[in-house]
Amino acid sequence: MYAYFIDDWVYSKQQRKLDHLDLLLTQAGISGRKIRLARLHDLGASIRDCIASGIKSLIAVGDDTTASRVLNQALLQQKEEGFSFSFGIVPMRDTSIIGLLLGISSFKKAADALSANQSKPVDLGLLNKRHYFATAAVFPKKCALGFRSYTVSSMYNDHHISVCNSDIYNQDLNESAKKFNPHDQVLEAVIAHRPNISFFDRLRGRGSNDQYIPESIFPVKKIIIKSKQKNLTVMADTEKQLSSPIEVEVVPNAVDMIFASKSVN
Amino acid sequence: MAVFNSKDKEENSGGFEMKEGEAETVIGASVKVEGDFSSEGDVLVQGIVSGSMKTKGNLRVDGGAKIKADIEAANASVRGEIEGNVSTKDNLELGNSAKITGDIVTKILSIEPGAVLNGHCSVSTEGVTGESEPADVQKPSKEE
Repeated sequence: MYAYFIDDWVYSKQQRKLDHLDLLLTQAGISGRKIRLARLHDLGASIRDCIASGIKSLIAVGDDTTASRVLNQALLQQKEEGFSFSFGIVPMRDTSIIGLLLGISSFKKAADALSANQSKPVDLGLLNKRHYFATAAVFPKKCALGFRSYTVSSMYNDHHISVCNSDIYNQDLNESAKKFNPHDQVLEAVIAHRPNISFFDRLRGRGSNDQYIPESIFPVKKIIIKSKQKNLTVMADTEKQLSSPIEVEVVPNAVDMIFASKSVN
Repeated sequence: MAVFNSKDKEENSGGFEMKEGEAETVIGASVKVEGDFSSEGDVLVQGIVSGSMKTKGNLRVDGGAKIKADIEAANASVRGEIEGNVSTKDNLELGNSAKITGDIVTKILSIEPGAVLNGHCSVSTEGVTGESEPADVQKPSKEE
């Protein structure tokens, strides 16, 4: 049985899509308990209630922020209470990186994936032993990567530092995609840079000036991100404010994720 | 010191070739690594490394890379600059733009024309211990 945690904005902005999703889930025979995530909603109590009533699949309906909120709460409770669950996402916006990781690009594909109910254990990243992320943690510029016995820093100002579980750079190269595997029990620390594009090339529309290309890749199980700033804004599925230094580690096979049949590498 | 074409060498001795996508660790051109770097897999260096460098896999140092470190690897292909001792278990290839200032210890060595090597070179088919220091020389006992 499924529990659907539906973000508040979906009711106000995506009502039609939500009705369509409801129809699809009913037709597939997988309509379950629906929980509206209002601003003051006690998510922990809802998850506890669902697990107590035998629900094993927790589905976040919304965007990556919704998924991150539900997943983090469920994992923190799982640590204390020791239950098992599988997790899924129904993306209600076009840009869901967690959805892409699972091969679910729309709510219709999500309905198909949920009815097929194929799940697979996926690694997660953990920030400062508290915040889980499924895709990547993106750090502000001027940070350095601190390994056990060496440090890595970029020589240029315009760079992009991330610790990835999946390919957030959307590289078409198969070789590159091989490096970002959410089942390999390691994360990839990446320093990406923006290639210099001349003014004339930009006028001709050759190359995008805002796309970062991964240049340096370090497979890691645990890493410390250092910065001169005390508080850092980290984008880890959703925006998080953390204090430096930030410890990032991999949690191997942390959660069973429901995925579309032609996905998850 | 033998100088021969690397292609011929690969055909003759089964030399290794590491493509860009195969490396597990990539140290890009805009990146500086400081400290004792160690890895289990293949490493590609295009940027700057200082300290020491050890890998159980293969190492490729591209042109433009600058390494100030002692290096240990299973196989290595060098086209950049290295200031330090290099020790490989099997193959060591020096490309035409390679510049090494330091001693090298390896089993199979190939050097392309144009490569620069300033230092001692030890090529032995016996197992490389990883230490690049020369063995102690016994002094002859003084005859009384």
